[in-house]
Amino acid sequence: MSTLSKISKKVILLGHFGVGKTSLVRQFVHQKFSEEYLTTIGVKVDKKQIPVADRLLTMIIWDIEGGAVQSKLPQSYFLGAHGIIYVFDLTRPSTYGRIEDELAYFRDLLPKASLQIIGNKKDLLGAEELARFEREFSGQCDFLSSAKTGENVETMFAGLGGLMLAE
Amino acid sequence: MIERIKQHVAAGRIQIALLDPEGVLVDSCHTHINLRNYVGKALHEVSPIFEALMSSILELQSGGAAFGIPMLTFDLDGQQYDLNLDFRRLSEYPDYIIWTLADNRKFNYKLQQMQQERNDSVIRNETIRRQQQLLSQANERLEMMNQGLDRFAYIVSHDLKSPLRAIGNLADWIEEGIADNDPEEVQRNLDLLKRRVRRMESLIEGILHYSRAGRIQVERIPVNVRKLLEEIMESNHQESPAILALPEELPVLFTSRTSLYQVFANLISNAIKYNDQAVPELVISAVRTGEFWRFTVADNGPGIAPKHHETIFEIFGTLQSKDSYESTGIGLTIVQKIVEDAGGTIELDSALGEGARFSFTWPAG
Repeated sequence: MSTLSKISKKVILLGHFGVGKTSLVRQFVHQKFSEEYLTTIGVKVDKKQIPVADRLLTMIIWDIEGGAVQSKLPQSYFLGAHGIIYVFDLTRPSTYGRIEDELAYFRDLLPKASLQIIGNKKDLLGAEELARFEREFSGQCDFLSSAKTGENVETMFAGLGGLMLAE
Repeated sequence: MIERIKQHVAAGRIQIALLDPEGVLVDSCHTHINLRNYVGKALHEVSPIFEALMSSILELQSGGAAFGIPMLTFDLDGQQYDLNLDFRRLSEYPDYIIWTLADNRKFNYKLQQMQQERNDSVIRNETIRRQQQLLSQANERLEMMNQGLDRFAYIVSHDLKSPLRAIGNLADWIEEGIADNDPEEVQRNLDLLKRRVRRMESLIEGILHYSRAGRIQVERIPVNVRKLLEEIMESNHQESPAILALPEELPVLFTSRTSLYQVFANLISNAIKYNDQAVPELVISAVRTGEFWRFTVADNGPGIAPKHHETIFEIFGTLQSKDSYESTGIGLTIVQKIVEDAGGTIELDSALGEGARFSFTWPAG
């Protein structure tokens, strides 16, 4: 029986407060979801192993507190990050209104890091709102996810895993 | 600096650990985390979460800047810690990297309470704004639907009255024919009456079709537009032969097949049905414009005068006399409704004697 070679990568989760970063990690790592919103203070680190191609990837996930101004976060949180998951809330335009500027800031800080852009809380959008969002923002985000239902959560993390290992 | 650190250590507020220049744990007190089992191990072996920090730690020896990880929550040996970490090199102890671990729980708790209140309030306000916006959009839609319903009721009652009146008259004439003992006249009027009944039946069918067009839940699937058009042409070809020219590039859309089929089927069937040439010729083109595809169905028929371009989309707005074609004049109304429900638009470009070009936009999916 062949054993998979092991590798670990640091992933940081970024985005405004209340967009569901912690819920995405909780769903991905523990397959759990809670409706209760608890603000993250500082950074909480969790980890999960997933097979990617012929490797066993340990994702060290740094769930960083959200702020309206992302550039005020301590830069030490980003040290050595290989991947970025940028999350916004599909129901709150204020969380993606300045997405280009914010992404430019992070790309500048971590030019080599792989990036996934996630529109979360898909379960709260009606069909019409979803269609409008897809028309207006199609191509600007990699996945529309729901931490509540689990839709696209595994896929999104696995996708980032693939991108990081391809680097 | 050293004195301050000593005071904090004595007060049990911070834990000090020493790393060698390679990032190996040399010694530690155990105020917050018991690191005894990790002495002699590199920091990334203590926990993989430190792996990403190793290069910054090693750089300290060659003059790299001191750095801290504030408010870090992590698990070690099955226990969760909330700590402020700091890594620095002091000139008084050049052979070591000083790693301090400060307990942060009390401060974190207060900060958490404050930020929770602030964030809850912001999210609550944004949620209320969104709900108000959704409500206002729903109201607008309702208003438009009501207006449409009024107009629809007016047109339907007006147009249904016409065959009904004819049926009434024909019934009177049949009655007179029976009284006059004129079986030929009775038979002729009975035939006319049956035709009016059939027409009324098809009008009612059309109305039902129209009313369902906006309410059917659409399932989106990949739709190969070329195959869809070929299928429509095949079903039309059995009734009337026509030539169809398709462009080289036609998309595969992720959309409602039923809706797109209805739109194309109506436009193609009209182009053939109202065509006055021996062999109807149809040219279909498709151009991507942003988030939409723009499809055009052009024919070599008699064309439509500009003055009819708007009324042709109105319910029962057929241009031909009601008896010359089996038409209810409702097809284009349905087409327009389906296209607009999908978020697109439809328009007509035509003049008498120049054929007709119906263009509509459809989401690229």
